[in-house]
Amino acid sequence: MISRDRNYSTEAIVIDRRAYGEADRILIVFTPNYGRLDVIAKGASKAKSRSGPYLDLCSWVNLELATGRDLEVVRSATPVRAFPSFHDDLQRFCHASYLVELVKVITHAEEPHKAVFELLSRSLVLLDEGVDAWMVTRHFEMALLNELGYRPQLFRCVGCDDEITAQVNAYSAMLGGLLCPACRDLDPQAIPLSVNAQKYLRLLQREGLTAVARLKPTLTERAEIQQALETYARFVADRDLRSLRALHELNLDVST
Amino acid sequence: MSSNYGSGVAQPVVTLTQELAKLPGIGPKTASRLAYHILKTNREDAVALAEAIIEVKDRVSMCPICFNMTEQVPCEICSDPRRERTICVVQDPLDVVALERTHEYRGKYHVLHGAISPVDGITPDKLRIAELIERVKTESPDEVIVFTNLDLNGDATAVYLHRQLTPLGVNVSRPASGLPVGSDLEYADEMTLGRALTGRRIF
Repeated sequence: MISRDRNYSTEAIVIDRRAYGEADRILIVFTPNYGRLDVIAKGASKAKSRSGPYLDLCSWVNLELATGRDLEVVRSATPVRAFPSFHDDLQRFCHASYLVELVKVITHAEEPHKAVFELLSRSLVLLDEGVDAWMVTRHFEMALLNELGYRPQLFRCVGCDDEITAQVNAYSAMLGGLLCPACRDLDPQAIPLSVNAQKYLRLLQREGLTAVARLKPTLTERAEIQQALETYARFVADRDLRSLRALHELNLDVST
Repeated sequence: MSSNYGSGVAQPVVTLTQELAKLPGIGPKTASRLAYHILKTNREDAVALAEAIIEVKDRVSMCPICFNMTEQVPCEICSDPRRERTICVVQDPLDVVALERTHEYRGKYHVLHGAISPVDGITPDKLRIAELIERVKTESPDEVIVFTNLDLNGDATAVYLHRQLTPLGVNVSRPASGLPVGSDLEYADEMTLGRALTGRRIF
């Protein structure tokens, strides 16, 4: 944990919020230098609050904070960038909700992760700019898991350590990588992946978003890729992800 | 939290504190203060509070048409023939109170009891949206005003309702949004200023 002055400022993205008391809001924010922080914004729900409009879910803001007894206290909030499309596009809003929820459940309190902050802010910007939401979300899952030390093993079998060959192999969330057909039974829950789905995941892991943007996976391949990454993210989070369930229920998880 | 109250505190006080702490916005310390306040107050006031809680639970129920809280079924507003043929959709019963206080709206209401919130697991099936769609089909209102909060959840709900209701041939509108009365322009955020400009009106 990085030591802080009594009053300090930081960039932050709101990753959860709830109403508290008459008009206060308790927020969980993710910051580059202090990681995940719990803060209270007093009077944020009042119509005339100066900082309230900037403290909604996914807001990217500069915060002036004061160290409180239990929670950090928001002294002021100014916007870094607004995401107007989240207000009128349900699909983008649900995807953005999933990204912030994933950061909330996978990261630990007050552990700084500059790279995760950059990944989250960049992904929210891409979602807002209209880039394929499915692709942005898959890239985010892969990059977040890589960054936090859960990099999936896609090149060698996690059972026998043999090199993975171009055939249908299975993805094991429990073991964190691909299983060759000989080791498939090590995890009965492992998800079979076609050769193209494996190629997509490898390219996503090694070269990122720009590289996979050239690929056009079929709907079946998309479903395989999505299932592998979502299952792994849920396994690492060790809990059900509510926004992911909302994405499925609203049928907004696939690209339109 | 029960362990915090277990030592040296009479059991009825512990129970009362625990019950009060279940209320929204009441933390363990406030619950404890309220419990001791009730303990110090005279018996008549404490009984009046307890009876008021029981009465509200016994006599107030949900209107089967608009889902507002009511003493009569259907509620006063739904059974008033003078009300206009518009439905104002709000998130919570308190929003009805706020809108009625303006005396500007003469139509009916529909209370959703929340707004779509993916991170809280609130999807349309957990709100009174299916009932609203049925109501629009049977009542054929002139207009549905989606008066949900102007935050991300409220807007997401409005977008969803717009998509569901427009095919039914009803006009769906959203309230004007802009600057609160008495506010300074320099402190307004860009979305509010943008919406205030878009929704401006001629003098």
